[in-house]
Amino acid sequence: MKLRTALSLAAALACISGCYEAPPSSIAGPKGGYPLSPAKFVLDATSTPPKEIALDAKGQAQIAATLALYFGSPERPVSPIKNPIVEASVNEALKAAEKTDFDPESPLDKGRRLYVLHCVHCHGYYGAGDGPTANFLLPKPRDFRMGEFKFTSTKQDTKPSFDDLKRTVAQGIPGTMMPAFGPRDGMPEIGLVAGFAGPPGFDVDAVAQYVRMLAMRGEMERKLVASLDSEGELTGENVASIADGILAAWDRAKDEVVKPDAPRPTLAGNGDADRYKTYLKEKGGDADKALAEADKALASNAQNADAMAERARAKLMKGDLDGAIADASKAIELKAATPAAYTVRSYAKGLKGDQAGALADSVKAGDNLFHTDKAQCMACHGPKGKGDGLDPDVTKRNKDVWGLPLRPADLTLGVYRGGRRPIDLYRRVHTGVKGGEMPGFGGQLRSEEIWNLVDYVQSLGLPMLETASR
Amino acid sequence: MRPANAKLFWTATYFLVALFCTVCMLIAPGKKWWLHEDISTFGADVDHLFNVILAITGVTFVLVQVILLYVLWRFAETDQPRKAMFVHGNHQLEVIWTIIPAGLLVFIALYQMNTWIRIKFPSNFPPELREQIKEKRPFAEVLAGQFEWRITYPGGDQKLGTRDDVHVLNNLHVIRGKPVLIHLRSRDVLHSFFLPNFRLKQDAVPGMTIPVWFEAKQDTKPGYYDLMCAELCGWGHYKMKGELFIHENEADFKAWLDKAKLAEEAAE
Repeated sequence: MKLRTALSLAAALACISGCYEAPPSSIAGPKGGYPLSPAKFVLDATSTPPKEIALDAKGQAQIAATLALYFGSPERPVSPIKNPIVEASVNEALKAAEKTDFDPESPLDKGRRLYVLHCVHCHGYYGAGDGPTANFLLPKPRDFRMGEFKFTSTKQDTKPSFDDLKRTVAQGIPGTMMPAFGPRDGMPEIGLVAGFAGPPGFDVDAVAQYVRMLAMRGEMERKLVASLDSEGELTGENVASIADGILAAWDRAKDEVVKPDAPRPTLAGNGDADRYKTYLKEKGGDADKALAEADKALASNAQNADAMAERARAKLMKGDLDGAIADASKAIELKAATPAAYTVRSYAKGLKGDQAGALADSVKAGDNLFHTDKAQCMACHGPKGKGDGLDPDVTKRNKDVWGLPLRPADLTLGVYRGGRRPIDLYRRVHTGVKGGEMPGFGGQLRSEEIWNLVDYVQSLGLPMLETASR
Repeated sequence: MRPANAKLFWTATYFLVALFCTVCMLIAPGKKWWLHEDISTFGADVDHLFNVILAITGVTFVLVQVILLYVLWRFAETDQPRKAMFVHGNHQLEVIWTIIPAGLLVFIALYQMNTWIRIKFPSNFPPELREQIKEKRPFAEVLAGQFEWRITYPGGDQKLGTRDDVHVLNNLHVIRGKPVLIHLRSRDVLHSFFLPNFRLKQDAVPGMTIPVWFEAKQDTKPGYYDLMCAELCGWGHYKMKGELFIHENEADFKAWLDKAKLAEEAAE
C-alpha cells in the first residue's frame, strides 16, 4: 500500500516537473529513437473525407531513416545537411544519422530545450499543433508540419522569412492564444521597440530556428509520404529533389520580402518625395500621352469623371500638384465613387506636405476601393468590415489548408493577427493570408492603392474616427 | 502508539508548528521575508492596515494555539479511559466568542474605511484625475486578456481610439511623482491587475471600464517592477505577467513613448 502511494506520488512529481508526451512509436536510435510517421498518414485535411495514406512498416522505417539523416531526432536536432547519402538502406541511413554532428551547444538544441519548456504544450512534440492544451484553444495552435505560415512579409506562394518567424514568436498573435515571448527591451533588429515580458532566458532566435526545422521536417515527411504513395518506393533521386526543393524555398524567402514601391501618402512629402517621384516615373507610364488622351476624352464629354481622374493623375506625374488636386476634386464632384481621383488627390496633398488632407483622401480612396469591384474586400469582409460579407453557409464550409474553420476578419475590432504596423497591413493586402482564403492583391492593385486600403482599414479599427458615422 | 505517547507526540507537534509560525512571523521583517518594496504614495496606509490586521490575527493565533495545546494535554485519552458525556452548551461562552470576533471585524471594517475610500472611490481620487475621468482621457488603458496585458497610450491628443495611440504589450510605463489614471478593462474573463510594489489590486471585469489610480513616490528608483494577474483566469494564469517601468521624469517617458510610436508606425 505504502509502496503504491509512493510510486504514484513519484509519477505525479515526474509529470509536474516536466514530462512531455513521449514519441508514439519510434525505431532504434540515440535517446528516444527516431519517430515513425503514423501508419495512417493524413495527407490532405481539407478534402472530405480527409485523404489518408496507409504506410506499411517498411515505408515508415524508410521515411524515419531519411528524416533522421536530414534533421536528426527530436532529441538531437541537427541543421539540415545538404546532399546526405540518400541511396542508403534503412540501417545504413540510421547509422549515418547517428554520426551527424550533434552539438548540444548549438542554437538549434537550445531552441529545442526552450520549445520543450514553453511551446510543446500547445504545438506538440513534432510541431503538429497537438499538444495537451491544444484541445482547449480556438483557434487551434499552428501545425508547423505543413511548412506554411499565415502571416508573412514575403510574397505570395513563398516561405516566411526567418525574421517573420522571429517576429511571431516575439510579439505573439493578438486575437489568438499565441503569447508574446520577446524580451522586455524589444528586438530593434526586427522592428520591435516597445518591450514585452517574455520568460527569462528565452531566446527568440533559437526557438525560431527550431520551429523552422520542425516545419522543414514536417513538410519533407509529407512529401516523402506522397512520393512513396505515388511511386511505390522512395528513390534517392526523389528524396534529394524533395529535400533540395524545401531547403531552397526556405533559403530564398529572405529575398522575397515585400517592399512597398510607393511611400505612404502621408509620408509622400516627408523625405520620401524623391522616392515617390521615382515610383511615378517608373510605374506611371507616359504622362504626356496620358494627358493628351484624357484631354481628348474630356473634349468629347466634359462630364467624364474617369477621364478627369486620368488627367489629374497625368498632372500629378508631371509635377503639377495644384492642377492635379483641382482635376481630382472636379472628378469627385462629377462622381463621388471615383477611387482613382481620391488616390491622386491624397498623394498630391501628401507631396504638398498636407498630411491631414492626404490621410483623409487616402481613407476615402480606400473606402471606395473596399466597396468596389477592383479590390472586392467587401465581398468577404462585409460592407462595414465586420467580416460578415460571405453567406454564413459558405463561411461554415470554409477551411484553411490545415482543415480548420476559417472566417473573414472583423476589421472593426482593431485586432490584427499579422501585426498592426502599417507595413504589416500593407503586406497583408499585398500577399494575403497564406494557407487561408484571403488572396494577395499585390498583382491587382497599385502600391498607392494598397496604402489607401491600409489607411481605410486602420480607420475601421478606430472607434472614434471618421468612420463613426458609417 | 500507546495513548500516553500519542498525547505527548501530538501536543509536541502542535506546539512546534505554532512555535515555528510565531518565530517566522517575528523574524520575517529582519530577514526581508516581507512585502515588496513600497513605492506607492498610499502604500504606507495599506501597510499600516496590513500590520494592524497581522497584529490582531497574530495575537489571536497565539491565544488559540495556547488553548489548543492546553486542551490537547489536559483532555487527551489516557491509559484509563473515561466515559464520554453529553454537554448541552455554554450560553455565556458562546456569547463571548461571538461578540469578541464580531467586535474585531466591525473595528477592522471601520478602521480601514478611509484608506479604502481614498484609494478605490473615483470621487476621492486626486482632483486632476477626477478631471481626467470626466473627460475620458486616462494615462493609459489596460486591457487584460488570456494571458496578456495589452496597454494603449492615448498619444499626443490624449484621446483613446485615435490614430496616434501607442499600443504595447505587457509593458506599462509610468512617471514617478505623478498620479496615474488607468482605465482597466477585460477582454474575456475576470483578471486582477496587481502591482505589489504599489499595494494595488483591482479586478478587471468584462464589460466594465474601471478607473484605477496610483502614484510612484518621488524618490522611487527608476526601473522595472512587477505587474501580474492575481485572479485565477485560466490555464495560462501563471504566465500572465507584465512589467511596470518607472521613468524619472516626463521627458524620459516621452522619449520612450515616441520610440514606441515610431516602431508602430513603420511603413517600410
